[in-house]
Amino acid sequence: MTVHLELPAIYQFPPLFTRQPNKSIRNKQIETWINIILTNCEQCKIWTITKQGDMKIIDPDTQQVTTFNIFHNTEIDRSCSPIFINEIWQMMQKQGQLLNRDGKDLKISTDSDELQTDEEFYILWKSLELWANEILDWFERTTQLNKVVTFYEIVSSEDNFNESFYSMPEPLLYQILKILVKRGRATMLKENSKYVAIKVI
Amino acid sequence: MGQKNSKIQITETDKAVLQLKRSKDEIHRFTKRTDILIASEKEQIKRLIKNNPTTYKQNTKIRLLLKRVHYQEHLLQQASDQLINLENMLVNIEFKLIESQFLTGLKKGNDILTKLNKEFTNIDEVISDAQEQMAYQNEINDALANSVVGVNNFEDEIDKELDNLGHEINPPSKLDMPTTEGLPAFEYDKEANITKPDIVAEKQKEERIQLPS
Repeated sequence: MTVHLELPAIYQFPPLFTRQPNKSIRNKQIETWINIILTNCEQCKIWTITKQGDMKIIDPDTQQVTTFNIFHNTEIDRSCSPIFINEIWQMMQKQGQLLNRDGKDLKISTDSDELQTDEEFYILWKSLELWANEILDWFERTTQLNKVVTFYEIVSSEDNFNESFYSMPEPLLYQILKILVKRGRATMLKENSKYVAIKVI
Repeated sequence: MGQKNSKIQITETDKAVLQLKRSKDEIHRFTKRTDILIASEKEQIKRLIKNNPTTYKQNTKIRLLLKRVHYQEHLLQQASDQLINLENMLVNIEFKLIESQFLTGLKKGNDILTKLNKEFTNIDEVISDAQEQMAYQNEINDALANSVVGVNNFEDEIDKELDNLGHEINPPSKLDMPTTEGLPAFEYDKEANITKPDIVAEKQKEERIQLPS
């Protein structure tokens, strides 16, 4: 089973990669980009993206890793400018579709040359709240209430292969489960000062 | 709303289960890694055999690779067994928890039953008490009824008085009406075309006329 990208026809359209001067057109353009990013991440279960737009696709069978940059279309030899990429990130963060690795607010500078670290973001094609609901639903469906379940079990167990959260990175899972704790429905367990498991009631 | 969230308790059992699950996770991780490793090494062996169609049997590298693959498969088997052990242990713990809950439920139910039964022994007394009171009440009623003297005589006198009143209000008639006693049954005289009552009336007329004044 190989996963591949679903790139719409407009992805082959050079102007998509050029930041449009007209504001309303640019907004539409950013919307299109966000759509492309979210759809493909959801399709191929890509959870992280670098600040420059690099993504990794892992073949589930062979575990082979393919890296590519979404903002760079080699076929038409076009890429988005860093300024434009930043604008896309800003919009995504505003809409709650991007998350910093430690859950804090991203500091996206509008300064074009500031691509300091190889920062990685989590892509949220579902909002954190929605994820929390889905995972809570899984807990109830599989009658795992009142039991200790490790993070690894939730996202890496073969039993959950068909679940929407399968292969999610554990730090992201932690951010989502924090919501359940806040709701008063769960408490997390530590091991060696790191949170590794959760008990949901 | 000012409510303090009740903290969810982590029991000692939970901690033990956590340990077991972590071990399970580690074994699972190891199994996945080893699987991939074995697959890639097998590919390597195949490639080497393809490239050395005549000498592959003596090739030390190939032999070494094959031995490694065997050893890793052996480890995998052991890991599997350990995984099964861990899973069994977890299932046992889960079941024991359910059993202990069942026991607590039984105990509590028992306690409540004994409490309720105690109330019933009291109720016995209450019932016999009530019966006594009722009997006593009946006695009182009877005593009161009989406490007034000569009440029976009044009954006869009341009867006589009522008879007198009745005669006054509904005086008996002075006429001696003939009775129908002793008369034959109802007949229909076809020839005379008169019914029996008429015949009887005729007879009665005769009898009346014959009565002395």
